[in-house]
Amino acid sequence: MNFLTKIMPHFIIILAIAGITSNVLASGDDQHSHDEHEEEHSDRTEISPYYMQTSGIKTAVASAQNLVQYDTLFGVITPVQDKVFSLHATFPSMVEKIYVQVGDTVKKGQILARLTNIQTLQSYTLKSPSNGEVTSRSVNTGNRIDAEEMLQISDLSKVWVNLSAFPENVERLQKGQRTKIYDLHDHESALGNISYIAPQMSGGHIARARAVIDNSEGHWRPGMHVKADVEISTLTVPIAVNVDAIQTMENESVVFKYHDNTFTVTHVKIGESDGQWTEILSGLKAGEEYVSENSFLIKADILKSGASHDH
Amino acid sequence: MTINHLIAFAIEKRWFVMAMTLLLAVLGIYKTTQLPIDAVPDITNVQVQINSSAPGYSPLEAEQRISYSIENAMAGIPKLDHTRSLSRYGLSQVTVIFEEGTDIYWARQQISERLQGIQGELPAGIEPNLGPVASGLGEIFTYAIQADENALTDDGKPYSSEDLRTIQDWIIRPQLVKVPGITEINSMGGYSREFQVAPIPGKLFAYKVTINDLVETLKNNNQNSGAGYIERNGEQWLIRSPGQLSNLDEIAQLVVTRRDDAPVRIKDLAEVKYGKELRTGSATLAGEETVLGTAFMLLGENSRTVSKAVAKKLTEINDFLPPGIQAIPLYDRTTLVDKTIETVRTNLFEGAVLVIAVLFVLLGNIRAAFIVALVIPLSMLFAITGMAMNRVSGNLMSLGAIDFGIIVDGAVIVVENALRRLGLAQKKYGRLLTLQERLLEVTESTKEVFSPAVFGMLIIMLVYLPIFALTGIEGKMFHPMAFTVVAALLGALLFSITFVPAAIAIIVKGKVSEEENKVMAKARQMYQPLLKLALNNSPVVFIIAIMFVSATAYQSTRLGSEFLPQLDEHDIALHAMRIPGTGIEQATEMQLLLERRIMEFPEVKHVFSKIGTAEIATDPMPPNVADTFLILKPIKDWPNPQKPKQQLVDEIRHTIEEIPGNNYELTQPIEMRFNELISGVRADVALRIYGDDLEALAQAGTKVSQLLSQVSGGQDVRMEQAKGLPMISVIPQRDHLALLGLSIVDVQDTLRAAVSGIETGLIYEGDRRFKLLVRMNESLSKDPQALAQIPVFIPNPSPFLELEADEQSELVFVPLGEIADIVEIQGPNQINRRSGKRNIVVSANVEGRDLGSFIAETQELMRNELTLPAGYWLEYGGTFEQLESASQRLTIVIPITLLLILGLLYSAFGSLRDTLIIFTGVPLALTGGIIALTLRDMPLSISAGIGFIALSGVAVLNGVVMLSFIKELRESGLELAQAVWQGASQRLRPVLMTALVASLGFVPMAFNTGTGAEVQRPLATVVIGGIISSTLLTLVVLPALYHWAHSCFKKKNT
Repeated sequence: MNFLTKIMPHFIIILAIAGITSNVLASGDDQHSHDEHEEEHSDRTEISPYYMQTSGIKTAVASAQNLVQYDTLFGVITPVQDKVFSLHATFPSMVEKIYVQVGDTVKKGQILARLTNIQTLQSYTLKSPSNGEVTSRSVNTGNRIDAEEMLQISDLSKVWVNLSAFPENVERLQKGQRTKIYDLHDHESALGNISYIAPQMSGGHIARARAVIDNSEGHWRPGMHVKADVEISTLTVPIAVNVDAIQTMENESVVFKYHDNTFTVTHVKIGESDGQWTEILSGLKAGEEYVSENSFLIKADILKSGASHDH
Repeated sequence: MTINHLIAFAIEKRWFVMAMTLLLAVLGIYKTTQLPIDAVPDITNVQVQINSSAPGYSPLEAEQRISYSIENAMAGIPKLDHTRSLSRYGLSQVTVIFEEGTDIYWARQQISERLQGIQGELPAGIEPNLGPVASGLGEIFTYAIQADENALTDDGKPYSSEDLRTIQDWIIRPQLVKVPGITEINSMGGYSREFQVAPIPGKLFAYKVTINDLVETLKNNNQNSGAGYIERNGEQWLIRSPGQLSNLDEIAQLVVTRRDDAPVRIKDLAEVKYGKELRTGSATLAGEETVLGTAFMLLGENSRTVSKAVAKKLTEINDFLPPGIQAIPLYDRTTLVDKTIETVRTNLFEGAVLVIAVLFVLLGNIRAAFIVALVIPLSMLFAITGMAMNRVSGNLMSLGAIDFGIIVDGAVIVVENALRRLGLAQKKYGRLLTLQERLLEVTESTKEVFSPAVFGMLIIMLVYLPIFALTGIEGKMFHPMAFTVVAALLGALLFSITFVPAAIAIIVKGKVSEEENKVMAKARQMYQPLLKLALNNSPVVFIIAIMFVSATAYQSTRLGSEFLPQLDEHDIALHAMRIPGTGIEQATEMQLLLERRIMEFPEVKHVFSKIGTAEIATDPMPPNVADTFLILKPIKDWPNPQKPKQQLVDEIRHTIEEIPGNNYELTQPIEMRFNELISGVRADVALRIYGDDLEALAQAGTKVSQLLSQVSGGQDVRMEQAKGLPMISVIPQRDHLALLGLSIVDVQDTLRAAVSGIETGLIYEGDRRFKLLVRMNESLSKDPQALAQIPVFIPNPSPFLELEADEQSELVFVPLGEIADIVEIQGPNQINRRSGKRNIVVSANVEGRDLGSFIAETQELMRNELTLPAGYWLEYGGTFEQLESASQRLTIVIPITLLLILGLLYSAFGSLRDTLIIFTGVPLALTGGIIALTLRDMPLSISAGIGFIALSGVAVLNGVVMLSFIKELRESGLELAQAVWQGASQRLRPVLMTALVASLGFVPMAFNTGTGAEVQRPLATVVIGGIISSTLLTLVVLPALYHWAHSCFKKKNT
């Protein structure tokens, strides 16, 4: 409205009709209503306990925490390589009888088939080399067989999880890391460890990593696509804060210290984070109280003098 | 002589004149129904908003790809004043401002044509829309949709804000839009329903399906098709193949591909659900989220009629809403307009009653008083007819500035003289007059006072002339008022010389006492000694008068000044502002807290807010700004009705300032809207730096503001906020992409699918239509770490990849983080352009020195100190331009006005001396106005200024009445002293009467406390005070001055 106060003198000039000398009147006080200056915002603010409670500002004490960092990888279940057995006839033979069907559970030493050596015409049996399940059968009674595979027995009590690790993941992977495997419906999960990391990258620029998991329930079928959270690091840090506590002010990370209803901006150096906790390298001491939830509100309050409505 | 003919005609054909008057009155009554009525004048300029919603576009993209193209297309439109644009997240708004007086529909036509021309240049899917044809006064009605706690949807679930929004969009809105006078219903709050297909990345790998496959499947399986007709046995059968999806289940069952023998359905790959849109705005009511609808009135409609119609329609609609759902009105302009009009009406009515009472007391003739009083409604209707025909809106400013006292001045003079003459004639004949005698007397008496009456009125009209020289907002504010007053005066003038004499001739038949009644006699008794004293001691009188004038002139410099007393809209509007970058959900939470706190005030009836930008971006606010409306209870329902509103406002301000994180700007609903629409830079000086690079502009801006604050007198130097908006930038690594056989689009599409969603079509439910989107679950994109994990599919692996056999059968993917750098940066919050170029504004106010020299010094300083990059330039703007042009106009118009008035007076008196003598009445009149302001502790405002204008006119009128009579007496042969004495005493009655009616007519206005009274109060105060002083001084000083001036003249002559 400043213009408007400025134009006042001109209206008063109209009064010059009256002959009043305009210079007497034309000195209307210009009052500028807006005297706000772009203040340098302070680094602290006070909020009453009432508003802390109603606006959901919570505080916590900085303390040592266990940070567990995960990488999520995708992968496929495969059978354990040395637990897949191909059964062949010892000699070129005729099949007399096959005792098992695909899907039958077999025990080690169980007789699986009776064959006749076509040269000696002697009958002999084929026994299961291992406990497991018949996963393939390619012959029937009366077939003549030479060197081809007759039956496949797989022991799926343990399975491999073949994970695809991209270059960035590989750097962080190590043998022995705990891995949690999920199916894609999040129905089941299993624990395992990274047991192998391929020394060379595949053509698709991926390194394979492997974990072994228990499959006595039979849930993890080879070929199944799974997701895995690999614990790439666990470390205990002396000071950590809730990740929600970290805000950025002028491109620097800050947390808000809380003491006696007063919140103070504290510049911090942050270290590792695991999505829940963030390590504080400097700026905050263990035992200090900081804003752990709704810290944005504190930032907003401190910077609010700069908030305006520009059209 | 024509004048004599006119008067003679009016009296001779008096019944004809009456009939014509009646006809005019009937026309006026009819036109009243067509008068656009609102609370305040509309000060919006001629502008058209072009809004383009651009979901997912950042400010930079919105500017580069949309705003720029549209602005360019607008360049060169005829009658264009300038364009400005702002580009924000998801929105481009170009405002095209036309020259004053441009027809808005023509302007829109031009824009539409040009928009069609550039449709091809805009990105696919971007459709620019013209904003509603509405002005700043357009938001006349706001309602909220509410569900009872127990109300359940058809599915047996409680209503969600999404359900309410659906009811608003598809049941309420279509009905309200049809209400005549409504141009747009804007919805805000809740979520628009969306059908969301949320792919689960792992499952996509498992089935080797890409997001693109999913999108294509949805696009290709959602169409109806017609295939003509066949004739069978003579009958025509239409062929149609319905294939549209209609619900979640159908979407889920859609087959995407086949793996082995089994169909792979959408449900195997993705979650199918009602999604929540990524909204840009929300709405809250009394601490709860809600859905708001705002009705926009078509430009130039009657806001009272339209908002009443909306309210009525809404009640009807409520009957058809699902049980438990109600649309409740929150803000209704009718309330304010009714209250304002009520105030005006009360003032006018009471004023009229007082005027009649005064006339009766002083004239002693009820019939004559009645005739004068009739002039009030007649001239009012005359003015309204003129207003309605010229589309001048009736409002507080235009109707409120009419002083009936001043309007009837002419009529009073005519009636008074007629009565005097009739009385004298009756005395002379000693009986009642015959018709012929009566007509003759009235004709003669009217002729006698014709020139003082007409000249006086003309002069009052003339003093309003400079107001028409104002332009821009000031012009819009005051033109209606000046128009109305002039129209009313013109009407009054017309009636005074036609209707009034005719009516007197017809009605005033009975005995007219030539004797003055007791009141007048008493007044005369008091006046005559005073007059004698003044005539005998004229130098002393002059000295006293001059001292008096000087003293008040000095006092006037000490009065505060304000532009216009703000109309109290009774309700409060406040902007709640948070830091830029505040998210919409966070802002909504903060707003809810604020509202709950405000609701604790017992004076508040409703509090509701609009946060961010509505569907139709009439007011494009970022999410960190909320318009909060506080609808107050009627004052009588307050716990303490005596509490001043200002105190309540202060209490509220004080309370809410404790709430963390908010900054406020308190204003009122209409005021707020005006400020948003006008939106120019309201500072004295504005330096615009134009250029290309935002960073360079910001630097230049900082430099300019430093320089500007060095110039003495520079105050409140501000740079427009170019503050940062937090932005996560996903920068693809081109080399890596090339090796994998991916393109940038693959990365961007994946990102879109993850965050904003890819639109694949619409789902129809009857008339309703909802978006069908492919968008991943929010949890997959919640932070940069999560974004880095989002898989990008490699549908056609590049031959560079030496895939092993088993890998080739697998679908290959790569996480986003592998092929793109994800960085957090501060981007521009909003990009402003003006007249087709990016710019940044540095503004300042000037105090303690004149603007001209300030500008000159600034320009000098900038020339010497400021080095702008090549291709950047500086422009000076701000209100100083307007101020300069206004001053220029006024310096021409005011002297012309003065000359005109002088000319009129001179033509009436044929004497420069007399003219000047009459002019001296004006300063004397002004003294009273200033004293009255001082006594009531009011600042000098435009309202008061208008009062002074009216006052000058009345003072001149008084002088004219007095002097013309004295002059006549002298011409009839009386001695100077004798003539002055007689004239002054005889003119006591008309002068007193005009003065009393003019001031008493304003008494109700001066003391009314209703809505809108604060705008009129200073005006009334000035006039009352001024008229008292002017009357006293006219009666005492003027005769003395005349006597003195003319005796000097005589001496010289002899």
